[in-house]
Amino acid sequence: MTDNSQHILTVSQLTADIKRILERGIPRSWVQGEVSNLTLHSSGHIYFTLKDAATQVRCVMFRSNAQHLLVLPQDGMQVIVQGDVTVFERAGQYQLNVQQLQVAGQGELALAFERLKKKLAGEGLFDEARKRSLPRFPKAIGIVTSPTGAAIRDIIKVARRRWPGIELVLYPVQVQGAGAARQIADAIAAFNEHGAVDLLIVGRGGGSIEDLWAFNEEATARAIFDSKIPVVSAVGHEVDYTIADFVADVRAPTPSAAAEICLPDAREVASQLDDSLARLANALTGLADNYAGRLRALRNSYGMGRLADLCGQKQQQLDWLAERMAQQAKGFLRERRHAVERLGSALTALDPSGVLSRGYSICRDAKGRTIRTAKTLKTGDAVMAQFSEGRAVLNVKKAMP
Amino acid sequence: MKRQKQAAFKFEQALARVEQIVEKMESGEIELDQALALYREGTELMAKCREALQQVQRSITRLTRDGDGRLRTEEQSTEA
Repeated sequence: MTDNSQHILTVSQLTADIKRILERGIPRSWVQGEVSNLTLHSSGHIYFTLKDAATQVRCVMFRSNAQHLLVLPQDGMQVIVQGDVTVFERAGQYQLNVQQLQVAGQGELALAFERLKKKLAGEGLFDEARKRSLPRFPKAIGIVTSPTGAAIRDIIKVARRRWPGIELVLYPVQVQGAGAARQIADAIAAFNEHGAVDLLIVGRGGGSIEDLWAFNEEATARAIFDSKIPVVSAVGHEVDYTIADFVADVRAPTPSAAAEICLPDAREVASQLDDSLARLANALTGLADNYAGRLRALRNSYGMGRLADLCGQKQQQLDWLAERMAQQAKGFLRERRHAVERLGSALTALDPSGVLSRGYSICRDAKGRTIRTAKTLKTGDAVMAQFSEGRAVLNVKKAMP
Repeated sequence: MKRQKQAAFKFEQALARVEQIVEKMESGEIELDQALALYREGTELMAKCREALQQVQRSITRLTRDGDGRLRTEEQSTEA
């Protein structure tokens, strides 16, 4: 133990000295290296190790700086960072406090793109077999893009021109910068939870490869893959291909084109309806003509002629029968008349006055009853005899029954 | 109310049915009274389709998540 206690430092004092020397002694510098052990913390801070073949340095990029990043660093990516050397006192470790981070050339981005593409392809995220067809007549379309970009304006304009009644639902997100991919993924999940749209357009207008990078990130790709609602990607211009395009059910070359792909043209559908109506009317007229023709043909056919002939024959037969019946009736009547006449003369023969005129007479008793037998007569009875002309009262002298 | 009405009418199905009716009518293999019933059904469906075509939306809906993670919707006019 030394006798000069003034020279004994605490660990904290030593660390503070180191911190002061390092932070003052090393100016803000640009450093190139390969990213490893990358951690994207939920706080928005990014932690990683920058290394070369021989050594490594811990790096931290705080949220305030990281939020301006277009392209998030990935493990294995060559980057150039600008940062200040600081000391993380708790751990007693020096580190780079990164202010800016750039991918070391376009080649690095292309490599990162290829790496992710290969990985996701291997997992089947791009399989054509799982891609869904879009509904022909969507009622509502969900849009995941920036509320202020050209993309949303283009989509609204084209969609309303093609199908004025379409319902559009926008989930506003940041489409570039660190965190954009996370927001896009959350928005896609939100639409799936919300459930009131038939398909999704996910995209943004044109920009540099760095501007479009959120659509090359794994979070975006996985959210599109996990969506139960069909997704149309619409990123940048025709020539821009992103990972999102490979996962999406349909890739649209631009946001305007996405609206065209998703919606039929109402005017075309209207003219198709006109056409259908004309065909329907024609068909009905044709059908009516056809029936009328068949009716005419039937009327003119031999069968119908035969039927008419048959009717004529029957009519004639009927007339003939009627004639005969009339004649028979006449004969019958004549016969009856003769019979009546005969009966009349018979009746004349039975008239008692006829008998009296031939010399017979009728005797009646006191009560006027015709006497048909002598048995009821007694001597002295008075009877009335009627002659053809006049009557006489006679007395019975003797009855001889 | 508006949404219910729209949900009840499926444009795609209506159009498919119209197509089916036209084809059946054009085949000519059909009784006259059935043809009249189909004609009536077809023209009614077409009128509904046309009504759907003439609808115009003048706003878009903004879907957002509030601080509690709940989804909210808000109508926003898109009139220029």
